[in-house]
Amino acid sequence: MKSFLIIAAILLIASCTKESDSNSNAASGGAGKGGSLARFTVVNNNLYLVDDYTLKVFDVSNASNAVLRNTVTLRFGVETIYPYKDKLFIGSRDGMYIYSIANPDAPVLVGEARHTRSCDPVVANDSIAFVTLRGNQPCGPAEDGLYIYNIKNVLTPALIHKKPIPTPHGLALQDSLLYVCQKNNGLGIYNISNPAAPVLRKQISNKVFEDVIVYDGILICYISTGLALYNIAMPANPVLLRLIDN
Amino acid sequence: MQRKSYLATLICKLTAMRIIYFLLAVMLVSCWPKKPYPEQNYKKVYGWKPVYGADTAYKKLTYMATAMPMGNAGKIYVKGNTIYQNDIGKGIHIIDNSNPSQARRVSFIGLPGNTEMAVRGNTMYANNYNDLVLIDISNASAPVEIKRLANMFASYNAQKPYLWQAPPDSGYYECPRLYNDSVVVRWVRDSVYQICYKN
Repeated sequence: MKSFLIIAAILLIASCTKESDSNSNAASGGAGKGGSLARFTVVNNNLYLVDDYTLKVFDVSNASNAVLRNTVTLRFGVETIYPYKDKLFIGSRDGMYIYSIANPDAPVLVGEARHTRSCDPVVANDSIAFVTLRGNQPCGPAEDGLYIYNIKNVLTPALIHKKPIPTPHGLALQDSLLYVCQKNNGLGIYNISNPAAPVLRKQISNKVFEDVIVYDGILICYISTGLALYNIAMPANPVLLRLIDN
Repeated sequence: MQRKSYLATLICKLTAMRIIYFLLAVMLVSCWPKKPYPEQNYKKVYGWKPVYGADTAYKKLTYMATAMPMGNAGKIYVKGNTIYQNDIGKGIHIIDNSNPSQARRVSFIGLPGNTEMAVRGNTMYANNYNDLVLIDISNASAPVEIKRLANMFASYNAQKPYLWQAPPDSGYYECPRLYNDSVVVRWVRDSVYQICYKN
């Protein structure tokens, strides 16, 4: 009887722990994942929003309210926001801006890489940031290409490679692979084990690729007509699972 | 004599004052705020003209419990077994992804002017034109607007209008104006000045 009680108590505690875990997950964010073209992003208890020239910070710890905590003025032509750890990477038409959110309510500009006027979503990991630039109007005269920056020293991002590729748009990073949407030119899959020399592994054509999210072994692609889902059990060789395009 | 010259001086002074006033008036008129685009300098062509609607009619959430066809595909967002996809300017398709090979649209949140969304817990954050709207999605078949923060997403540029302020196709268009109480709800073909252009 005694041992039964002990086991029951352990089970109870275990179930409580599990319960509170999932609760705390929900409470501490449980945010989803956006594409590289996003202008809204949630990091922990804050919603960050970029419009044309400001970054707004909202406290959303209370699920039914959003309290504006801060408005940071940016340069013109801001297009995208990408969170990574305690950083926000902001893509604008004249460069990539890195903000520290070590203090979540008060983003501080810590680094920037300016380039010729262009459109440019950003993705990044601990040491490298990948930016796509489109040279077409109305974004500016820059050449189409994939720009790769070393950001080990975040204060001074250093351009380590510039790969001309046609009409690059949204992109996603998964370990040593980079998925780059290239509009009418399809989806390019690059091996970036050596970030200074990306190697094209595969090109998927026949769709107009706009943006991509890697999620739970699936490549979720925003295509011009809707959505395409690929299985990436073999990451360099996506297999089409589903097309929702009507 | 003395008196006469005094009068003459007075008249002289008054005239001078009038001239100064006149000049001031001329200067004021010339400083009058000009139209942002002096239209007489531009030729007219066939293009896109914005139609405005009272924003109260368009700043609201609707819900369709059935799959809707995609109009103009927009950005994507994923959380758990659900994918969200924006339909530019119209709202958000909700896609059941519990089995990716059978993923399908199941419902639609109508949110005019929408282009952006993010989800945390059971709350979706999305724009309804330039309003930030909080939507309780805990009951997937009955999303509820729980909070609205007006004019928090003020992306606006007449020369490069944001997606929902831009005409659907390429060509010259009448540069949309920003009003406090109305929004661009659609575009029609009409004679417009060659000022704003979409590629």
